[in-house]
Amino acid sequence: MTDSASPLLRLEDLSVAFDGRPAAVDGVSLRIDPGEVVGLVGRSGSGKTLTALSILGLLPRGAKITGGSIRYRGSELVGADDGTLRGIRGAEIGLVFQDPLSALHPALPVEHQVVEGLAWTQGRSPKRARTEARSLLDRVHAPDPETWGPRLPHEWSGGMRQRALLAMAMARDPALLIVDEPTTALDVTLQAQILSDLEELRSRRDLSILLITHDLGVVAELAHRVVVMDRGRIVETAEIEEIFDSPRAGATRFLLEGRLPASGASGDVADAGGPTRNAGGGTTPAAPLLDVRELTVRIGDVPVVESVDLRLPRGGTLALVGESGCGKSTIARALVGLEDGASGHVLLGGHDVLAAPPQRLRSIRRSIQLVWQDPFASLNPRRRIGWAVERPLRIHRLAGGVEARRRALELLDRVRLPRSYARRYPHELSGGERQRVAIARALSVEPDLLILDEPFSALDAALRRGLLKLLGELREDLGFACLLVSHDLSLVRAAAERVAVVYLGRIVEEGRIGAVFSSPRHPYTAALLSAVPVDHPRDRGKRRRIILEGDVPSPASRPSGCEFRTRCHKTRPECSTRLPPLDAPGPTSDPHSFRCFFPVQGR
Amino acid sequence: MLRLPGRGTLRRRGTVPQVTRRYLLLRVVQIVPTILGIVLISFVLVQAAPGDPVLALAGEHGDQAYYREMRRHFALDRPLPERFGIYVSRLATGDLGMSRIQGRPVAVIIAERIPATLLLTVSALLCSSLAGLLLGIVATLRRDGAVDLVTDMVTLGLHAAPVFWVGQISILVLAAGLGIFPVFGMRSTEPQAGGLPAALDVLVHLALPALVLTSQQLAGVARVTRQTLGRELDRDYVRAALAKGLPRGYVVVRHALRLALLPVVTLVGHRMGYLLGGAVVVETIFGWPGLGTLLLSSLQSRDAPVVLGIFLLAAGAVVVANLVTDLTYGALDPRVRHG
Amino acid sequence: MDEGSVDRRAHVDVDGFPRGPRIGRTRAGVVLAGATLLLGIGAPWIAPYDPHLIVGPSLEAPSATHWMGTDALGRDLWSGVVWGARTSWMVGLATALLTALLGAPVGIAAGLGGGRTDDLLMRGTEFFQTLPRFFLAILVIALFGAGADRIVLVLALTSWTGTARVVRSEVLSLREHDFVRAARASGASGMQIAAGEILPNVLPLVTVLFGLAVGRVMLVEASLSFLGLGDPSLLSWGALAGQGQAFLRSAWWLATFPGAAIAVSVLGLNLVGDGLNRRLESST
Repeated sequence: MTDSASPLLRLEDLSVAFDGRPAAVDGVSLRIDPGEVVGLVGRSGSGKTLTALSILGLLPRGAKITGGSIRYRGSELVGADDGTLRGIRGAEIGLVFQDPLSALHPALPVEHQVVEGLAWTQGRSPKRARTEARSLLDRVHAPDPETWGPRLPHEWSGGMRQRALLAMAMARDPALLIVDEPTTALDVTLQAQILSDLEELRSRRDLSILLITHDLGVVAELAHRVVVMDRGRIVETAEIEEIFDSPRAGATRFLLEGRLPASGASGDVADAGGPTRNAGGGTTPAAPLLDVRELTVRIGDVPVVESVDLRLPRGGTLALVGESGCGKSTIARALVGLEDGASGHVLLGGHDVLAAPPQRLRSIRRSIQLVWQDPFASLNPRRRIGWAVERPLRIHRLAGGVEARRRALELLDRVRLPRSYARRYPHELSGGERQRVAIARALSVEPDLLILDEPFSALDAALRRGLLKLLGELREDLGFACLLVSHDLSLVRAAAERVAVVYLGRIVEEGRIGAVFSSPRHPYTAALLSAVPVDHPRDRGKRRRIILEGDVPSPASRPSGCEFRTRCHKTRPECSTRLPPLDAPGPTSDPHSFRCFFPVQGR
Repeated sequence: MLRLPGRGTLRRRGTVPQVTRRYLLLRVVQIVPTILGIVLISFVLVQAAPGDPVLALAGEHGDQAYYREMRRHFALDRPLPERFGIYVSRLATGDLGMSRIQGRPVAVIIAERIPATLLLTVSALLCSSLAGLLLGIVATLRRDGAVDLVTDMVTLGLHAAPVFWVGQISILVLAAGLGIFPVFGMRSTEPQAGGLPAALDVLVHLALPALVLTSQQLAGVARVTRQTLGRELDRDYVRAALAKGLPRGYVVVRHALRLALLPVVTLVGHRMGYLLGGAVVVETIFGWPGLGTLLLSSLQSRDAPVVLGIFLLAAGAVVVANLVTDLTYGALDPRVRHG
Repeated sequence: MDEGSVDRRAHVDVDGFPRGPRIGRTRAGVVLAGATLLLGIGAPWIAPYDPHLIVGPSLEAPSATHWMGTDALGRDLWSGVVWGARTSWMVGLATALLTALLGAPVGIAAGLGGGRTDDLLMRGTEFFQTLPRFFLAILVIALFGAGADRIVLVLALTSWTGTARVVRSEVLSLREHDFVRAARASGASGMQIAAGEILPNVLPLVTVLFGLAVGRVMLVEASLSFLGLGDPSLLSWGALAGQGQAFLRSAWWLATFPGAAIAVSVLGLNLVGDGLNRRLESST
């Protein structure tokens, strides 16, 4: 820990509590020096955000600072009057919120919001303010501020909004930037963009950053020092390398263990598939469990999924990856007949889901079950857990009454939840427990195929490993096949045997995990992989990072030829003339196919 | 009415109203079937009234000439669909029939009373909207403080009190007890000389009825303002605006109120029927010579054409008020304009 | 097994109203509304006199024998208020019940049906919503004569729209929840979804709306009776207050007590409705 004479910000023994409840932040002390990036990490609910909000006097209703001190450049902020705090807010300390959509006023143009602080505090003319806003937006690489500046936040994409927030926080050139979970809601490609923006801002302006996150990967990329919080207290403070090399506190180890390696050998879970795994090798010519041909999904007139072919053997695992909005979830929903605009063939055990009459569809749906993204939304809040788990059994009339109850309890055993949970309501369970319930519910009808749609993206990173392990074991026991839809490449690497990369509703690369991850051939896959945060701070800057500029084009106006060429760093004139076919080079029993004329050369 | 997702409960976040200019145009066009529907309902009710519709409307007084007039008006000798056609076309030309009691066209009788009611309702509408908004804003700014709690209690009480009771109590306390305001009519019995004294005289008479009608509307406006503004203040964008260093008052008025105003506008606009109903009661209590007293006296004298006419007028006013509300909503919410 | 999670509700204070003794208020509401409801139920045993009979001197101020005084004919006002509770609650409950029975199914059907069904039902709802209920009630009374049955019908016919709209928007948002999608994906039929997933989530809301509707209807009924348009065969608070109007200056009690009874009932209902609604909002 550097012991320079004057820290920029110093918290001492800070406590925050909601009225009438025990302290949510309990005796927190930390310091930030000029030019330093401090990571404040901890799982959600550990008091990180409250700590940050209390610095600017912006605690939510009902929460109060109950003790301690916050000194900024030596002056006390606890108990300071509104005028003093206003002088600090924006001008000295900028704040970037977690959810960019809710942090922007929905009915004011974005550029107006970016400069509002300026125009008010520095008396600039509206016109100058607008110019300023656009140059600020430009500085954080928001695309085309002239066009987008006057528009409303809901017209902006998620990554652009995050940049608008960044521009807003940087508008008055603060000395300290507090960034709350800046990339949690974003794809890896966007995460890489934002992190590189932050790094750029820091190095250019000697900015201090307080980086709040539950994701140690983000910290590994950026922070100098890490402060770990757990249940309102600081449990560990250390230099960044130390945290990764020799974590001391249990909470730190918990966060570290939850991380899945971004590189190296593929993870434990796919291996846990054990005996069934060989069936996934693609060597057996036996009819696959799932055979998707020419699947196209239109929403309105817009094809959001374009002639997708997929094959999944019994007991195999296949992952669909891509940025959000690429159509991977739509593919998943089309497989169970939830998309009305789907055409083509989805053969499950030889029966076509899309052509099935309603009665047939019901029985097909028995053999495909889904686990949904958001465990808070996927369980009926007014039904007990037991009811939820029994529900598919009743729908398909497989069991009722006592028998259904007995099977539900067994399933709870299987997902390692106490049987007493059957009588609980979803709100009495944590997110991870709910996701276990969702898995139990899906498995109740003994499906052949389990579709997991971003199964852990609403959960703390630290919970992933446990759930993954559980899934691996269940798969070994029950032998179902898995289709995993995720934007999380580390998760995919750990959980799947094959991977299909989706861009603009089309598969651009497909192959075994090992092959695709170690030598990606499509430039998009290469860019995705390079954007994954490093495993350890010492690898910082070692990897050549391909930053994808801009956003995915709209499926309503697909680029001609290769649809990735507008964001591709290797594009050539030929790319715009014709769509590259999805081909594997040469005949092989284990195809690795990609859709590119000028593939990245394998290592 | 606008169909905004989630407007009913106003509790889900992040729902962006999908309202487009085209939709607003559609709203204007939709007025036609709505008005036709209202006319149809009144027609059906008249036809379905027990016995001969004419007897139901005109009363059994034996005035044959008046019966003939009623038969002409409702074209009783024709088949039903044709009757309806004739009824509609007469209404379209503003022909509401004749009043037996007064021997004059209903349209004229009603038109005479409109200014008094308009004066009463418009002043109550303005006062209640402004005072309600102000009260709601002040209560929100002093959240959980004394003003907030008192406002909450008072508006809860006003919300529950029947308007006639508020009127009676205010007469007991303000007029009879303290002798502050006149309690009956619109003008003093002795004629006032000149324009200004006459206007002042009306104003003094207006005070109490307008106050009572205001109190009926005020509670709703203040509560909705307080609730939506309070809710907006807890949103991230407010905190983000404060984090920029903007003063709290500015953020409340320019950011939060902007959005909180939308439900308030909707409430005020969509309670036109409620306001007019309240006006009927208030007019009766204070002898205010508007549509309400006309409605009551017509009911007592079984002058049904006048009652029917007032019903059609009130329904029309509600339709127009709803339309104006929706257009205002569009003007206030840029998301509509951008749609 | 530690299962931390991203809890979005952590710091969101969903209700905008002042914090304060919330449970206390709901309870106060139950007491207020419950008291007048009990009056109505127990009227024959509670009322000390027959409210239609002359039992004392004319216009006697409240006293130990006549708690709320007597009217111009010497009838006991307290007995009138007790019997009036019965009318107010009967009309209120009957109308609110019809309102819920009409509104909730329409709301659920529109929300779940979507597309054309939704359009059609909502057009209808919007139309009924524009009908000014007070004036429609007066017109019906003018044409068909006064009576509690038609008041209930007219008020129900013009009130269900609110329930339908709120329920519909609730269903629309429920429909987007993954638990409904999950039921659909696992093969549940439309009816199974409506009964198994939607209904239990909508029922508490319908209950709240029911309570608020009772209060609103009481107010309209009272205003109609005040104007002399209520059911002539039933004693009602509005009618009592209307009779008191003529004696405002000489007998303050005649106007004060019946109106207060209405205010107390409606206030109680609103407090209960508010309290339940807040609990609902913070639990979903």
